[in-house]
This record gives sequence, C-alpha cells and structure tokens, in this order.
Amino acid sequence: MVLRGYVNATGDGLEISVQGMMTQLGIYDIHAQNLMHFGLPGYQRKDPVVTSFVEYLGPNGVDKAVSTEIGRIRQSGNPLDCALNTKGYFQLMNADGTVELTRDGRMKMDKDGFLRSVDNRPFLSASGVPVQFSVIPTELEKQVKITANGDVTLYNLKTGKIDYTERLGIVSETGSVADKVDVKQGFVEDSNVMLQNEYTAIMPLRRQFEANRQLFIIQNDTLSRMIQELGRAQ
Amino acid sequence: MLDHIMQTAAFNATKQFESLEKVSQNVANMNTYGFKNVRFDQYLDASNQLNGTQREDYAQGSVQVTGRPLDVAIEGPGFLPVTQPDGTTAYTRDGSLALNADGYIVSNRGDIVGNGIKIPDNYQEVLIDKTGDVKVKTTAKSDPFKVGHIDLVRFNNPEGLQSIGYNKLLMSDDSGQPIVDTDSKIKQGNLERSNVNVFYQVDNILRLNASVISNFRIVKFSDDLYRQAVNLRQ
Repeated sequence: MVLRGYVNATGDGLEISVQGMMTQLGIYDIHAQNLMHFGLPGYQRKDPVVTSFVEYLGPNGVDKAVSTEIGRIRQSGNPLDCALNTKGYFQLMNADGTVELTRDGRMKMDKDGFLRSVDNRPFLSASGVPVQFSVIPTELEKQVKITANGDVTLYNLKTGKIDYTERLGIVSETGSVADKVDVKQGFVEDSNVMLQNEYTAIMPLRRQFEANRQLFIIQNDTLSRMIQELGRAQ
Repeated sequence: MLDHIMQTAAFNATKQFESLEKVSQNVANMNTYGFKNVRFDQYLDASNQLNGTQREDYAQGSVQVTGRPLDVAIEGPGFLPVTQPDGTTAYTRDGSLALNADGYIVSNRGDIVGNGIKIPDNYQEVLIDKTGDVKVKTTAKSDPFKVGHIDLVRFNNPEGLQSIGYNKLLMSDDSGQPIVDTDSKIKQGNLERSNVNVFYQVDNILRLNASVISNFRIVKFSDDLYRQAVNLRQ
C-alpha cells in the first residue's frame, strides 16, 4: 500500500497474506478430496504441486499430480473383480463412444454377456471392441478365468473346452498398450490414499494458514496504528 | 471452497452409511435360507460425485441337511418359480416348502410353487428327485407315482433381478427372460444357507468405519479453518 507523501507502509503484505491463506485452502482441498475417496476402489490420489510466485497467484498456483502408485490390493471373493498389480489402466467405453481409463476393475456381466463396470460402461478388449462372451456362463466362479496377462477365458463345463477367449485392453497412461501387466482375478485394488500421510500433510497446512492469518492481523493493526499516528502528526 | 468441501464430505459420509446398511443387512440375514449377499459398490460418476449401486452375489451357498421332506436346496444357478396370489411369477432360492390347505406345494410365504403341484390327501411320502420330479407314495410299500415337476429356471444376468422382499425376486429388463434350467440339481431334505461370508463383512465394516470417520474429520477441520477465516479481525 502506498500512502500519499511517498510513505511505503506495508507493500503488498496484506494481499500476500490473503493469497497465502487461499493457497493453503487450495492445497487442503486436494488432500480433502483424497481423504474423501479413501474407500473408493481404483481411485488414484492427487498430490499438490505448488508453482513459483504462488504468493501472487494464490490458489491458481496450486496444481495436482496424479499418483500412479499401486493401491492396496485385497481379496474380494467376486470372480469378476480384477486388480491391476502393475501400472496401467483398463479401458471403458462411454455412451458417446469415447474411451476412459480406469484402475477400477470391478466387473459385472449383463444379460447379453458384456463385461461392464459398476456404472454400466463396457470394458474394452485389446482389439478395441467391448468384451462380450459368446456364450453366457451360468457359473461364473467355475467358468470364467482371467489370467495374469489379462486373458478372459470362458470354459464350457460340459465339454471341458474353451468357448471364448479375449484379452482385456490394458494400456499405459499415454494410451499405448502396456507391455507388462499382472491382473489378479478375485481381487480389488483399493485407493492408493494413505490416511496417515494425508493427515500429516494437512496438519502443517493448518499452522501455515494460522501463520498467514496472524501476519494479516499484525499488518492490519500496524497499518491502522500508523494511520492514526500520522493523522495526529501536525 | 470450504463449504463445498464440507458438503461433499457430509454427502460422502451418508453414502458410506448406505454401505454400512447393506453390511448390516447381510449380517442380519446370515442365517436366512437362500439369502444372497448384497454389496453397495461405490464409484465416481460423470460429475465426479460419489455414487453407488446395489449388487447381489449369486454364488452358491453351502447346503445344509435338514431331513424335512419338503425342504429343497438348489445346487446350481437355478431359481424356483412361485406363483404369487395376484397371479404374477416370482423367483426364489429359498426352498423351505410346505403344503397348503388344498394340498398344493407352497413356499414359506404361501405362494404356489410352479404352476401348482397337488399332493393327494392319502399320501404317505413325498419324493422329489434331483431333476425336479415330484412323486408320491400312498402306502409305505407301494410304488411312487409322479404328480408333478418343479421346473427350475435361470437368468442370463441374475444380478438384474428385482428384489421385492421376502427373499423373492422379479424378472426385469436387465435380467433377461427366464430360461429353463436342466443343469441345476434339486436336493430334497436340504436347504441352501446364505452365501454371506462373515469375515468379508467384518473387513467391510472396518474399512467403512475408517471412511466415515475421515469424512467427518474433514468436516470438523474445514469448520475450524472457516471460523478462523471469518474472524480475521481478531
């Protein structure tokens, strides 16, 4: 702030303190999102990245980076649940034909034999078409085998032969075919959010927020005292 | 920003409570014959909001010997069709059957099994073989004669069946049309126990508990920051 008479009182101090508080909130928002999606299978945590000159940019200077760390893998008992034990993504097809990547491998079979995600979007095979069983399996746990490299195989219990086989389309984040995959049938990958890490990350955030707030209050007090003193000076 | 975080956290916590409701439903029905485990699978929908869908697990439950002649367990993916008082057909896996006042075989809710199988008044013994043929002996030494047949049906997508309570299900667009099932076997004198796995339920409760607590911690934390931001002048 510049007072008339060329007394440079507090510079941009007040403004910077406010931006500081806003920045802490922006970072806190990312951690809060992680914490809220802690129990969501396949969710990938976001790590906050702060750029230079964040004191001027405020929350606009905070960006998030998706963590590709593999989450906790747990047994689910459902034969159509798949967990990816390597980096990579399953592909889902949206209603408008666009492809979305996900690490959530919970599948279900619809009446036409399509393998669908929990929110009813079909999984794509390596050849880019939705995975659809040619014969509808009656006993999923006995008939459907998904191998480590992502091959979905359907056994015929009567003839002992393989009725259908198709490879799941697993790609890297750039969209190219993942070269090394490890699919675990009957397992679900939980989010890769670590509760303890998130909470330890937001504890200093709170203190930093308080520090900025204190600085704002001090500067505000100093400024008002200065205005009063200057007003008294004859 | 803060009020948005608080709202989302509270909304997510209610979704976790919905999941807990399914877990308690499973635990409550652990000893219900023919009951199938239900899950509440959560996912992020297109607007990035937590959403969930109820799913049933139609895996075979363990078969328990009861010795009662009108108890039947189904081994395989089949369902027992029953005719409800209003004439519509419902499907169930609960095979604790009985005879009604007119001599028809009925389910434990009083719905007639199949299209009506009448047992003669002078019967001595009812025999139900594994294919579903119902035979009756009038004296201890006489040859059994056939009085009817229990037709089991299966569905391409049993998860799509609509539950109407009392362990009964209705056909829906998602389940597909009923298909006569000759592969499933009927076991007289047995009942199918629920397929609820108590260890998975405990695991679920623990994870959901962590999720609910962390969501409420976020509400509390955001509230603290909010208060500090509002009281900037102190």
